[in-house]
Order: sequence, then structure tokens, then C-alpha cells
Amino acid sequence: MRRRVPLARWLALALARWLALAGLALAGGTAAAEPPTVRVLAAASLTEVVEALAKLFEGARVVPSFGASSELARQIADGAPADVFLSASPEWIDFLRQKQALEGAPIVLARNQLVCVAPKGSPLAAGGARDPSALLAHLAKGELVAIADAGVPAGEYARKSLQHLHLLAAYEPRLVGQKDVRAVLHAVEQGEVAAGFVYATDARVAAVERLFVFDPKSHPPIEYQAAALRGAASPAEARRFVAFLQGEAARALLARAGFALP
Amino acid sequence: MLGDAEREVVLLSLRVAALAVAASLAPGILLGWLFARWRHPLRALLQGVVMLPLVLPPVVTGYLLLAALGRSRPLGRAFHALTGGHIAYTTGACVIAAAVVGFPLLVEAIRLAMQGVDRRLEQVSRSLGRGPLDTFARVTLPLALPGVLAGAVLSFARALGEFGATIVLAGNVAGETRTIPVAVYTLLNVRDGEAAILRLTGVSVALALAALLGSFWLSARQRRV
Repeated sequence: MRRRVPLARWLALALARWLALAGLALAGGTAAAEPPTVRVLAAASLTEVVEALAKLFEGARVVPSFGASSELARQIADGAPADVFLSASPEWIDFLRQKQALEGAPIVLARNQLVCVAPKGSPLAAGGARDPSALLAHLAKGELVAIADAGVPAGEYARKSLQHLHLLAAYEPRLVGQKDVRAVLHAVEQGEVAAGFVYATDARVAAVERLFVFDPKSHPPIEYQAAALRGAASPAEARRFVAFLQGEAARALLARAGFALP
Repeated sequence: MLGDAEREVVLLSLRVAALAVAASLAPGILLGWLFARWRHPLRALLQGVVMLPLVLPPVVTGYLLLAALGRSRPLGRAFHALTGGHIAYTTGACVIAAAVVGFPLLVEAIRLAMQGVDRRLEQVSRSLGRGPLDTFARVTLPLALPGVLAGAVLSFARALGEFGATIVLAGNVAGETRTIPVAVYTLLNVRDGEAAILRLTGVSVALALAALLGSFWLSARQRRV
């Protein structure tokens, strides 16, 4: 009769084997000459553009991660491994400058507009919700509006605009915070909320109905900035990527995605 | 001390956790008793389903709940048609998320407590002419009570800390669904949020520790029975 191997021993053996294999894979991976890697942390609203830029950039592998600029800036300040930061607001570039986390001067990458979107086929589109106060008047009982969380640039622009229009207090009970602007977009697309505040460029990449544009004078200018980071693994590559963002190819991509160029 | 917004956050958290435990108690006692006494192959499967939220990523639990109860999903729509209200993104959604995630802890504590009850005492009660329900209410439940309460306190503490399923199903509405963990998560994005985070962290640690100690004390009483 076959002797049964005790479970603990079997697990230990399996683990040892797995570790040996992983070790081999790692050793093999580092032995081959790999191109340098540029880790780009970018505002969620730049997702498609930065993914396309990553493919265009030559001589290095670009690994992008996306999130709220506020969240990314805090991670960078806490020492997260990153080479370049693309922020949807100058505020979080300033934050990192104060923390002495930037390498060289930041550049202005692009500009954007803040818009209000509703799910496809929403009655709000036909019903005349053409500005923030009309939207508020048209919302049914219990209907909610998605907004990026406080501190997240898209949420800050929207809150400042509503405050400027003296509508923030009236909106407050209807606002559902979301972790970043793409989470807002998703909640609207899924029909979980009646409307949401996103960037004009976001409205183009989802099946949503655009209700109105916020008056640009009601909030600070929506300006994207990019900077190489002090903690970069390869500062030269990080700077080269930031320079690439100002080149013709990058500008053409940004313009095609609907961003205004500086 | 706590500001007005923070006090609102703490009170909402306490209310959500209390409601979640209150709603879980009756089904929790029923299932705990079932898992302690019922001998059937299906029991393991049912137990697995009930325990699932303990090991599933809470965000996945939240997604499953949203897929069922979301405002554009069938059950969410049916609820809206029936009551005119909504589930997703309301305090009710927080309570549901907290109840589902805390439920396994409650059921498991009750199951252990009921397994510890001497079955001969139940048999004595039956032999003296008491019905099964009466025996359960007058013998089994009172003997298992410390364990039941320990489970309630533990699931209350778990409900207070619930974040993953809550953020998906209930979002982040000030005064409605912004519980302590959601508020802390929001404050992480705010430039000068550190002081408020520290205050809410202090409250969290104090509440969690008090609940754990309470549950230990109650469990110890259960063992002595």
C-alpha cells in the first residue's frame, strides 16, 4: 500500500519547488539585457492617452498606473516607486514640490473642461437640465449625482464651481463621492446615479449623455502638469519622457483625445 | 476633540453597526443552532455559503450585492417600484453591507456556544413535557446566551470596520453612508486631512478594542457554563 505523505510535508515540498522555480525565472529575467523602465503615475482622466503614449515612447518600457492625482501624489510623497507624475491639477504638483519630491521644473501638459453627464437615454437630457441649477430642479426624489471625492481634482473643480454658484449646500445631500473621476464616469454609465461631474474628455470615452459644460470662470483653470520625480530609478529616462510629452506626437494624441493644448 | 462632521461620521457608524447586528441576530441564532445540531450533507454547503463573506474580498462581496441591489439592477428596480425608495447609496446599503460581512462571525460564535450546551439538559426538558420550541427558548438559548452576545459584539466590531463592500454598494454620501472607514479613506485625499484622520483613528481603535475585550469577557463566561 502507498504510504500517504503528511499534508504539512507535502505543502512544504510544493512550496520549496515553487520557490526554486520562481528563483530560476527571476535569475533568467535579470540575466537578459532589458530596456529601462519608466514608471508613470497619471491622473485617471489620462488613462487612454497615456496608454497610447506608452506604446509610442521608444527606448524604454513605460509602465503606467492610474488613480486620483491626490492619491498618487500622496503615494509618491510616501516613497512609492515612480519616475514621472502627471497630475490633473497644479495643486498636487505643488504639494510634491513642497515635499521636495520633484526633479526639475514641471511642465504644463494640457487643459480640460468640466462637464455634467447623464446615463444614455436619460430623461434629463431632453428635459432641459442645461446648467447646474436646472439639473438640481429636474432631479427626482432620491436621485443622486456622482462627484469625485474631496481633494481629488475633478471633485475639487466641481465643488468650487458649485460653491461659486451658491449651489453646493443644495447639492450636498445628493452628492455621492467616488474615488476618482473614472469611478464617477462608471457610476453614470451603469445608471447607478442620475448624473455625474467629469471632464469633457471623459465624456468622450463612455456611453453617456453630455448635459452641460461648467462655466470655466466658475472654477480654477483645469490644468494638467507633468514632472519627473526625484526618486526616479533612471532620472535621465524620466526627464526624456517628460520632454517626449511636449513633442509633436504627444501633442497630436492629446488633441485627438479632446484636450486643449497649452 | 471631534468636529461636527467627525461626530456625524462616528454616530452614523455606530448606528449602522447596531442596525446590522439587530437585523442579523434572529437569522444568526437560527443558522447557528442549525449548524450546531443539524446532521445533513447539505449542512456543509449551506455553512460554506454563510461563511463566504468572511473569506471573500469585501470588494467582491460589495460587487455581488450591487449586482443584485443596484439602482439599475432587477432587485433594485423592483424595490424602487414597490417602495419608491432606493437601496444602493443609502444608509440601508451600509447596513446591508455591514450585516452580510459581519454575519459569519455571529453565526460561528452562536454555533460554538450551542454546541457546548449539554444535550442531556434539553432531553430532560423534553421528557418533562416541554415542546421543542419551548426547550429551545428556556434551555438552549439561555445557556448559550453569553456566546450569542459575544458573537453579536464581535460582528458589531466587524460592522464598524466594514469598508470594501460598503464603498461599492453605498458609496460615499456625507451623513448617509460616510462611515468611519469611508471618511478616513476620503480624508487621505485631502491635503490637511491628517489631524482629522488621527482623531477618527483614535475613535476606531478605542471602539474596536472595547468590542474585542467585551467579546473575550463574554466568551469566557460561556466556557464556564
